[in-house]
Amino acid sequence: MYTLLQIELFKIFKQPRTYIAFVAIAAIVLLIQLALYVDGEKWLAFGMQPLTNSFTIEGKILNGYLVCFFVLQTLLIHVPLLIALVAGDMVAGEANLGTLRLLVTKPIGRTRLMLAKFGAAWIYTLLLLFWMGILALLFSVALFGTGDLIILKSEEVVILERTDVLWRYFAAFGFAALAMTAVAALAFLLSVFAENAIGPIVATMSVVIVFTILSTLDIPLFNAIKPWLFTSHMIGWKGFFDNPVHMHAITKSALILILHVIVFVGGAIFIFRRKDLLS
Amino acid sequence: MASIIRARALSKNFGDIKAVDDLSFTVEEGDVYGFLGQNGAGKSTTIRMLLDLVRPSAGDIEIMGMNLQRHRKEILQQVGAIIERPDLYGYLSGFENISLFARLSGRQLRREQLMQQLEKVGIADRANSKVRTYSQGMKQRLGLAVALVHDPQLIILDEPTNGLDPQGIADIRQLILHLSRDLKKTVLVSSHLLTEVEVLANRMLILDKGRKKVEGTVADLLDPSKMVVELQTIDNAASFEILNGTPWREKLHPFTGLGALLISLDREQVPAFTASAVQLGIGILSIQPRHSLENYFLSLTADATHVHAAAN
Repeated sequence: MYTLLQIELFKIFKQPRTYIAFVAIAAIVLLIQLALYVDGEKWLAFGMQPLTNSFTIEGKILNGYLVCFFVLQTLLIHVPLLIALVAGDMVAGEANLGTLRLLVTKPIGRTRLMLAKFGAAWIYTLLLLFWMGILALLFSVALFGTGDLIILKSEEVVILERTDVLWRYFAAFGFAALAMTAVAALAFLLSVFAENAIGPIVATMSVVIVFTILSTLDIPLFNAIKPWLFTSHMIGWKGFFDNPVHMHAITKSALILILHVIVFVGGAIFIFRRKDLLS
Repeated sequence: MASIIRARALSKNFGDIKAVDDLSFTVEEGDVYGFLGQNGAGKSTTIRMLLDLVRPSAGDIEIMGMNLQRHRKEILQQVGAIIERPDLYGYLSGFENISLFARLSGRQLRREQLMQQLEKVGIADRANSKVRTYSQGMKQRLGLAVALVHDPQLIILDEPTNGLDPQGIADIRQLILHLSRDLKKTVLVSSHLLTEVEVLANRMLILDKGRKKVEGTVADLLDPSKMVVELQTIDNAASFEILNGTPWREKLHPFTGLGALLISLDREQVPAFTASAVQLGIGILSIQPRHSLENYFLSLTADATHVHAAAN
């Protein structure tokens, strides 16, 4: 299994397009950091106006923690596309190349092959988030320093002390990794049905977009299914920035995401084991 | 001699289409077994069933005495294959491809050993180039090297000379003969070209519309003194039953339910057979001797001109 996983990772990281995601994330994060570095104080003063009219806020508000929060909020919407680029290609891309049949004629069980492929896609997902974490958190802290984190929500202002922030980011990135794993699992499942990677990539993004719309619409018809849509729980990482943290809700979201991962990957294996490989 | 492949009553349906229909055959150890048929005859589907890429709708497959479904891993450790095109990872080098597939086959080979494999097929000097820069012939050679890297006992090659130039075709044929004669490998090779099978194989099977038409040694089947007589009668099914109860039974080909009856005869036996058929009360409409398997194969082949051109 370890050899298979190594081989799958080797193939992923030998393809130039794998690095598109890393470059894209780096570009976006660095651009956001640059913009905030140059114009951040003015922008923040404007954004905080309703608050500063009534309160006096002292200290370094535009700090690395706030920048990281801003980056996370902006990027985690787009990362699914970057995840789907690789996860959607895992089976369909090989079917398109014609290498899938060669792989399956080797003395490897189909289940193990699929587990190794998903494992590789998962590691890619984790690395992508790790990369994002390094850029968004470490770089931001290095550029802007640390301070208390002030988050403006629609109905409240959350102020987190500097010493109380870092663990929340680790937990948030961990949760985001789980949410992105669910996206990877969906792309992986769809990949089994296709013989060209474009289909599963577009289909994954379509599902994410449609489900996200359903998750945000306040229509009674959809309210019953909302709690079961994985997109409703993808933003669960924000829960770590509540004070106090509602662990019950976060755990529930995490379990639903895990359930989705199991169903998607289990389904992919089930279908692939029975599939006639004609391409 | 042990049987390497034993396929029994194999069938495969894709929806309403019967790609392979009640096909049985045996490949013995050391055989170069030719699988001949026009495009769409069911060769690739059968080969895919032998490699567990496609699950049979009915029938079973034994390879090296083991059931394919129950002993898939053990069997595939002993099998090397190219299925249609030798599709490999274009973004990897030739060396990386062969190294990767050697590991997948359970072999940890040193760099020199892998390079030797590439040398055998004549692409060692391009080992470090990306496969997407290879010509079709080089890809075919690399595909063969990948199929052979784990030293398999059984080699399955689906149309291995497709897309090659004449020199490439000659090289691949030479390599197949070397595998069989010098390394004592069992080879199953499919082709839509009779001449290819004639050059390479010692035993062969002709498939048409998923059904076995003829099976035997190439020497027998291509013997110019042997004939396949095509017999059209008023009721072919009834005539088959009548002939099946006579000593002609041994010469009779399995009846598919469609088309004429086929009887393998020596040239001298044709008059005696005709007289016997009349005596047995068979209502003969026509009796047509085919002078060689080639004619017979051409008659099966819709795209006759293509095969004929290749045969010449």
